[in-house]
Amino acid sequence: MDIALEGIGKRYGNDLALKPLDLQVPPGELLALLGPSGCGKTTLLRLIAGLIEPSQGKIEIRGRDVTHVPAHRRDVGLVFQNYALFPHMTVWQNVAFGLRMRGMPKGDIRRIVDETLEVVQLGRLGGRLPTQLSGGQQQRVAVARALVLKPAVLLLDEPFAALDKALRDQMQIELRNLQRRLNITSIFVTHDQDEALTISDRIAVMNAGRIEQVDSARGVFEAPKTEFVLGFIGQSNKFEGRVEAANAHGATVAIRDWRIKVVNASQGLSVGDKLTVAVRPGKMSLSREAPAADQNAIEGTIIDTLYLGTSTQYYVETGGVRTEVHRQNTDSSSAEQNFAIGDRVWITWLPQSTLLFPR
Amino acid sequence: MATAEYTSVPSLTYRLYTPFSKVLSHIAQKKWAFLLLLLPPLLFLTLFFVVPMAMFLREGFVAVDPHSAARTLSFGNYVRFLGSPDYLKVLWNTLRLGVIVTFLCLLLGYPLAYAMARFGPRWQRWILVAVISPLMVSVVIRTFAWQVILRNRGPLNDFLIAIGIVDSPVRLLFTFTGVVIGLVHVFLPYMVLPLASVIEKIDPRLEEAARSLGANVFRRFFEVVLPLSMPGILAGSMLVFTASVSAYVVPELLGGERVQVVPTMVTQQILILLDWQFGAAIATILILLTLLVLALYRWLSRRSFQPAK
Amino acid sequence: MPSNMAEKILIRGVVIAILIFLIGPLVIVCGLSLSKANLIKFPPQELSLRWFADVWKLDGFVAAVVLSLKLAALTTVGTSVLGVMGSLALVRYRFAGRNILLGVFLSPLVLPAIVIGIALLQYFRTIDLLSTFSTLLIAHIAVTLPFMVRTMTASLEVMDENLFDAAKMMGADALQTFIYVTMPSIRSGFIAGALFTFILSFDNYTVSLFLTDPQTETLPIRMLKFTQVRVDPTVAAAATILIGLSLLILLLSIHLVGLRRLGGLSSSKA
Repeated sequence: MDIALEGIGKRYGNDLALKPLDLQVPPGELLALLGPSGCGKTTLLRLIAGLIEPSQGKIEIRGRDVTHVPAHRRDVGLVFQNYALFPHMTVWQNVAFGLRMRGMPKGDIRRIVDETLEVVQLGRLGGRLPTQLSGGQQQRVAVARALVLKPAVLLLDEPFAALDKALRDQMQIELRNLQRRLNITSIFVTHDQDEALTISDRIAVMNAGRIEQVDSARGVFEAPKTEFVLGFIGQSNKFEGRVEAANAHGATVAIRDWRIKVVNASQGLSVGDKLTVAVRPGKMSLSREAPAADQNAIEGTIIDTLYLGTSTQYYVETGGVRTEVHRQNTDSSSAEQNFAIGDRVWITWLPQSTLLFPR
Repeated sequence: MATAEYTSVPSLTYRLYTPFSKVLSHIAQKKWAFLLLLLPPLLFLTLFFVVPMAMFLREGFVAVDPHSAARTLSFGNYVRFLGSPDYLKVLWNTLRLGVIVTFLCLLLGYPLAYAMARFGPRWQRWILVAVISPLMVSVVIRTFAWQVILRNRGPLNDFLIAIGIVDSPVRLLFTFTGVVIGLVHVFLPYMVLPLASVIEKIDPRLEEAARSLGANVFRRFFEVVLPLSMPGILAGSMLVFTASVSAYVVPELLGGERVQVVPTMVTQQILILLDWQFGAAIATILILLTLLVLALYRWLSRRSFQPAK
Repeated sequence: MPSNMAEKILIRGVVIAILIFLIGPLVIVCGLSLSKANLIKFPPQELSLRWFADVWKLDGFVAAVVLSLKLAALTTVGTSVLGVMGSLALVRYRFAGRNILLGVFLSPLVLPAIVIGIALLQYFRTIDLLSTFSTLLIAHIAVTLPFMVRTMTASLEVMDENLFDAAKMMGADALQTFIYVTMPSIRSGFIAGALFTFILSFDNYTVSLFLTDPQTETLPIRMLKFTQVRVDPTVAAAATILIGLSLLILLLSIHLVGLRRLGGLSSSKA
């Protein structure tokens, strides 16, 4: 493990900003800390960087206990949210700063800074001041400045927040490529789930000082562990249900008049358990014909449609609850499958797509 | 360690600096590190400002027995000042001076501030130079200039006679009016600069919008610009008023004995009549007045930021 | 605001008149020094520069200039050091009573100079330890320190806090951060403060009045005595030289700091 956090917590007076948590990051991984404002993700990042001391717990970087080691001796580089480039220094001087502080001879500094600027593709802009650079260029300077000390870990605090949409997509891919090329363990903080899903190897979803789930993009999307993760990533339809029957292979859950089959072998479900049943809109299908008896299905009337080009969203009134179904508009959808407002339809989905959470 | 990847040898100056740096970092970690920065100036100020002021103001509460030189706590000085109509007249004179000077500075300063903010960079540049340069010249020289100008046979009177406003010279030196003129000249920049800073921040499109809605010059000014510039008016007025009532040089040189204000009176009592206790009491009254105006300013500023009901 | 030609001309005329009021007296002083006759009369009948040659003969003038320059230089050094130290402590660290202490540092600004002068007179008489020059220096630092603190705290507060964290991550210690990050960022505020301090000290009259003695006179005190004793163009010439000096400093300040900043306006137009 390149980074190992054990029992890390941080309190400010009576406020528990981080509840004791563990986290392990293998070498070369790009991990996203994802969560809403105030969830503690930036606190956690700064804690790993060494700018904040934990109230409890231990931090190890490459096997070395750095819990009480100051930031500049921890072997980490930090890219700040607004880059924090020294405004009175040129790009070149900004990147050279860390090397100067270590007393490196001038000749060596020159060579290394030039190399690093090449790596982030800023070779010819060394003489510019930060105010003369675009947002994307400033970000690259900040990354170069962090990388020049060849840290074991690269930390980034909302690195794309200050960029506009088009630039953001491009810089995300660039960062991903750079990280892979250098094979440097990296953690970045974001509140944007799309960003996290797009470029990270794993995502740590955080809420109120706690890590709710650490998993790959597929993992947090397909198998969210808590209702918070379910709600934070992607959309879902939620129903109240009660377990009617359960055995080793699966269970039957009652949602009002309907019977839903679920396949969750690991869950210890007993008859009578109250649950929240969730299904993502993309996993649902619409059909005019009644489904087979053993399929998961609920019936309803379409009350609204929203055509979005690649897909269409249908809003179905199902016994007092509004269910959202997303359908890809592929050419293979036959004409008769274009649904309209007022149609009575059946919504079906696979048992594996049913997500359960205790209530 | 990252720099283990770099095999270069640190420079000599760095190696010499490192032990010092280690000690510095060790100290900087301590909770009391900031005191190393704070104490020298704080100690200086305490020793050479707070203590002298306290010692002096304390004198105002002391009565010295003329025979035994015994010192007792007493409010006698204050009673003496506040109970005497002559002394109160001096206080009133001072307040009157402050108000008049402030008002005139506002009257003259507002157009300058507005021009500075709205007439474009060239006007702004020249007005700034004209406003700031007197600040760099000693008050002694500025007062000397007015002494020359306001004399009976000085350029101002010559001018007034020449254009026929008066027949014989108007006495301006050693009058209240002369002091007012001198103080307005000295303190005008203190009104213009804060005002200009505030007016500049008012969106010019507001005035354009008012004009497009049919408001004429006066209405635009009174209903849009003036209210929005109120913070600047308050700031400038506070500065000018407190400076005017505390002013010593101009009233002393341009007013002489005929114009009695509190600061000149304090000096008289202490340096000429050697009544330190009485002088200190009067000085305390002056300070209280200044603090009162400051508190008034704070209160008014807070109020003007509340949304209109 | 004015919309038609007449209004425009009117208000511009008013502004120019007020500017003449502001600058006029200084121009008149300069004009007096150029008069050929030994008269204080404006406008001068005939022009001559002869009084400037006599300036140096003015009793005690040169000594006062030297003294005031020395005093102003030392005051600037003292106030700069103490001011930067105090501002750093007040802005960069959190501790109880911070706001109150800031108020204490700024308090000399609101108190009448006359009172400060008299209080220091009494104080130094009681102590009776220091030379006149020392007391003058101390007094000058005391009255210029609040300006410096105000300017420095304003500059420090607008600094991006992350810059300090970035420097820390790069391995800079407290001193290195100060030299390479803090000072360059507050450079113009510092220069403005230092220049202002110099001028305040050089021109100071009220507080110095109570602390000088006949052997140690600052320039403004000496100048005032001149104007009371001999009112001839030599004095006007001395005043003109000082005005010229002030203008030079103004030009220097504008070059180093910028005219807008000198006037307390924000550096970018709102």
